Amino acid sequence: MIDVQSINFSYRKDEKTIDDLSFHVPAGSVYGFLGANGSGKTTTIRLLVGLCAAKSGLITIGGNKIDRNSVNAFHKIGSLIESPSFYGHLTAEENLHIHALYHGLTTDRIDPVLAMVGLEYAAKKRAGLYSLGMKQRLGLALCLLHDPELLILDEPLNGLDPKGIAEIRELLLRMQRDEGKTIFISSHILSEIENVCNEICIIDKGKKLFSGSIEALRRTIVKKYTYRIACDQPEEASVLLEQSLPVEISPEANGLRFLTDDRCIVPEVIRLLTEKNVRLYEVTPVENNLEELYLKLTNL
Amino acid sequence: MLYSSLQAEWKKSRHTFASTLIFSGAFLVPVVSFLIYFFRWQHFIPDHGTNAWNEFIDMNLSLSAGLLFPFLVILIVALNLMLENKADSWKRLYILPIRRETLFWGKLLFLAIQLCCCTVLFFITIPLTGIILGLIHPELAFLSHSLDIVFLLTLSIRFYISLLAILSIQYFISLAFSNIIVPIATGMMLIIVSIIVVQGWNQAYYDPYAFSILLSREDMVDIPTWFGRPRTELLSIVYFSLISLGAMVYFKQKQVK
Repeated sequence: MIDVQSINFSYRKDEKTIDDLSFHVPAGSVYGFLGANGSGKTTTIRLLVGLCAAKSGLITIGGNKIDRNSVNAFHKIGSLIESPSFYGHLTAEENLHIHALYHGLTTDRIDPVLAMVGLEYAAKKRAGLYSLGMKQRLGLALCLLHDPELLILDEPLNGLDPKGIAEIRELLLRMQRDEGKTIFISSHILSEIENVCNEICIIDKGKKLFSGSIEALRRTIVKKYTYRIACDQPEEASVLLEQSLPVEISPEANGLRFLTDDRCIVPEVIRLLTEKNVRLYEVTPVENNLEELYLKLTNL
Repeated sequence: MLYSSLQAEWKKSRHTFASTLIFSGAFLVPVVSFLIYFFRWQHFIPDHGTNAWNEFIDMNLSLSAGLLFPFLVILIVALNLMLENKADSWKRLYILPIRRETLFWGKLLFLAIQLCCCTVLFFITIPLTGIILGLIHPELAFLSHSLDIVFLLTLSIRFYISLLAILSIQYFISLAFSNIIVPIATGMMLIIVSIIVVQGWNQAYYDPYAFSILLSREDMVDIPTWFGRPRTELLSIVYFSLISLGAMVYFKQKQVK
């Protein structure tokens, strides 16, 4: 759906904001876009929607080349960039009506879209009086109104409470699953990205560090396998394993953790401990979550 | 699409100070003139053979053309564009599936319509207040003298045209600066300069902010003509066209950072 090829962009001559960035967002996927503050996430999104023009490289969305006059492509895109933008002196309904006029739509979809984002109860309230979470929902409603194929969402979960985050997460997943929409989402809430995204791209200082699935990221970064053992004699088990097998041990409450280069060693570990009468309650693989992987990748 | 864009602009302007300003600005001078005539009516009884309407229209026009209407144009443009800056909505408008030119002309056309409404209201209020004065104080002779409707209509069109140059310049400045202070301060400064310029500079008819002032002083200032029309009116149209085109090119190329 989105194809970015070697784009470069800078606000000033002496620095590169985006440096030879390429990635591909498959149609129908939920794609996470990660990076620290100032890494170039929002600039990339601005380039994707044609708000800024890349100095070089090519961006296509749904086969249409993106520039400042990509009217055909803009039909397919719904975007929420940084903070949601709306007219505070008007109600949510009026804001959506204005948006519908620009898109050449009737007002039929206003009520369903407000219901979709859970704002139907405040449709006639002035948007300027909304809470942060409600404003975020209105921003989402504005980008969903014309039923776009692609949603480009920059920090859409900002300001939402846990219930709101869960609702929006469900909404996004439902739109991807049931309606086949492609969702490009940037967020600082890495656990949420992990929950909803099929693939991710991580950038730092405008350069791509990684793109692919979270599992692929795990395989790229974590060369060793980690397992957690819950047992009745963790100290004895630690000594025993360290003396007998090529593993790195670290103590843990009610057990221990070991790292190994080879997964085939796990049956050996279990056999050795049971032979020495250590009662094993649990042996589980430990997978780094996205946050740990992200921090490892960016060396933070 | 231009019609939808106009409708959207109309909806946005509802409940805003800019829309209130159109009405209050249009009525302000005629109402003040009315009050002056109402309380000091003895001073305004026309001489025999003088049409009462002439002096009344002159008074309204001289009060409005120099400061009020140019300032109204500045405020209407700045307040309308402030709506977008305040809502941080340029980034959303730029990625609508409509051409930037349509967005640009839709906005400019809407501003021109607002100014037109303001001018029309102003020129309707003048005869209305005159008739009311005539009913209250028959000595003012508003009812016994005929009002030259064609003259008033022509004057209103010329007045509107003379303001178009300011409209386009202010539109350009307001698009270029997101801070509302810049277009208002620049506009006010240029009005003040123009008020000074028309006092003594014989080339003042090149100054777009002086066009409406010169219109109200037609009987005192000799304005050269082109094709039988005062140069100020033609220059206003030329300035409006060229500056609008320049602003459109700027708007089309603008990047949202």
